[in-house]
Amino acid sequence: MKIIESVFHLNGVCHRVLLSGNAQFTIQEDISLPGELNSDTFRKLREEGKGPFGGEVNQKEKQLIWGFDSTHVMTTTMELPEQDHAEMESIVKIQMENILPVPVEELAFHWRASGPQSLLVTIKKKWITGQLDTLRHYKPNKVILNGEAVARAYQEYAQKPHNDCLLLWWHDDTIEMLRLKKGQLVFMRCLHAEKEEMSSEISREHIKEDLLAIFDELGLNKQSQIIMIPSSAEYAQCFSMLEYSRLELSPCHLKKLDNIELDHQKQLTLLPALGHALLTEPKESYFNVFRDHYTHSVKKQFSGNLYYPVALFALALLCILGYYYLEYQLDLKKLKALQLEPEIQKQLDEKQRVQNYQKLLISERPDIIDFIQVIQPKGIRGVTLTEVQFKKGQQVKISGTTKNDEYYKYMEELQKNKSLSNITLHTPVYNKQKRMTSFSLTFKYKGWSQKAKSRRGVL
Amino acid sequence: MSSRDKRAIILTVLVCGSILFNHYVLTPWFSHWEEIIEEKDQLSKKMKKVNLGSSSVKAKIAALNKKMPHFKLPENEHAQRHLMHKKVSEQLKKLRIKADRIGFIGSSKKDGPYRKLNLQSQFICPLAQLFDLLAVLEDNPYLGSLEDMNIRVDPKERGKVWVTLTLSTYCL
Repeated sequence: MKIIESVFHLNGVCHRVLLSGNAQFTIQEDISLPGELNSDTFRKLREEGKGPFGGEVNQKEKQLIWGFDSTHVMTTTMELPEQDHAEMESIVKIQMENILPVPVEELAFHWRASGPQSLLVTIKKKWITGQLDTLRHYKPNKVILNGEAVARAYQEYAQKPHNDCLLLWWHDDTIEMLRLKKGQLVFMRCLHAEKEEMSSEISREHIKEDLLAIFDELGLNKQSQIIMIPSSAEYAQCFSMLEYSRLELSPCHLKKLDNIELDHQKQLTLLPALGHALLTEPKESYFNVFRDHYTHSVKKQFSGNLYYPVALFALALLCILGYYYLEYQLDLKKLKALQLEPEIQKQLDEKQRVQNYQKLLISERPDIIDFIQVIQPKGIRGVTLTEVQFKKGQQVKISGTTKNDEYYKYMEELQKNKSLSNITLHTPVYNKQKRMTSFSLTFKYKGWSQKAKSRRGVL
Repeated sequence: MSSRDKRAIILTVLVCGSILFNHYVLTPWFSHWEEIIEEKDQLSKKMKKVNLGSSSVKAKIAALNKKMPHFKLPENEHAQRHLMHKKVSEQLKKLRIKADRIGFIGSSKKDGPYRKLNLQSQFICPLAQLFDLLAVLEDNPYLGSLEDMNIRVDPKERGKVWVTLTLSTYCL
């Protein structure tokens, strides 16, 4: 169900009418305040609302319709071919330049192309600019011409609506003439007619003459239906006075509206609101002269319920925190499990100490048996070792004697051994008396000839 | 107060609350957690080294015992000197080697948990006995290592050698 909030100004009174329904609308509330329709009055009208939809109507289905007075517009009937919109606009502009006395640039316009009796509605841009601040503040969904709304409401709510007729809607000292052909609005014109002047017969005759001239222009005859729609009781009286001038006018009888208690005249007064509501239907079209200046923009809001995403986010956050807390507790538990009793810890430390001491001994103790086996002159006859000096951190020194030059062979033998390096033979001395050669050798044995600090890691 | 103002206040409170929560709760908690993880890792490494149930640790210990079967953990200096001297003397005696001199000649500075004491002995013996001595030295549980060995053939008595041995032992 749609909620329509229709706001319009009629006979010096601002109306805010709340309607509800779908295709068929019922009036739920009518609040009116005297004065001009501006933002202050509109705010007061909203504050006055007391009904079920009163006050600030927050329903998402609500549509605000801002009705504006037809007296500000100028209408022209012209012949327009049925073309696409882009081309049509240029055609309309060319025709407007020929017909209208005002430059096209100063006018906002809209049209309804229906062959030879296409209707063009124009309005001064200057007037539109004056309305924009209020419109942008209240953001109405649609800005609709009141006259068009009345014509549309007549078709829907009249007891016996005529598809071919002329509606005379009298309001604000203006008789608005709305010509319907085949149920479509094809002509609009306003005729100034003050209710005070109606007491004067001369004035009545003038109005009658003016009206008859327009009837002639529109090709109306005695059989044509001319329907009176007075916007107030006073204007109803004015119409009756016109009838005295032998104008054949038919009264407008509306269907019984299924809504709050409204008398017939009140229903006629609120006819623009009903028309506004009808023109909000998607299939309906209306003269949108504000189209280049004001477009209702809906702030893109999150249409779904925020509860679920927020709840999901909070749940995810809780899960993450829970996970971290669980991990923390597990680490804490592992740490406690690793922290042993002092006695066991002491035992473990002792074992560690033993292992470290074993490692130290292994790294510090040379294999002296292997060393002696390495330096033995195996299979070399005549070589006798007389002195062996082994000291950790120093080169090994070997002295010996030989009866011939076998020390070379001995040296070559030593050189074959990979445990020894830097083997140096010091000048052999031959002793003639003993017929022997004394020799001495120095070399490095594994890493033991290096200093203690540099030895670590070599062995 | 409009709903926009309310939203702004709620958002401000949430942001401020989050900052304070992070500063006073989350950050200290995470740093405490880091300490726990560090301590846990250290202990885990230590436990891996001494885990007697682990086959790799068992193999390591077996290898160490094979390489170094006879040893005793160092005592204090006084006790260690006595034990070392006694054991070396016993070993020499057992091999019927009469030492000309046997005594400690000095000690090194503490390197790590232990200090090194050097025991020097001088004796004359047949070469075969020296080899026997070098072989049994490994059985001395107080022996640190052989630091210095000087073997010289006795010019007077063929088959005998003058030996100067410096052996070390560790003490606390």
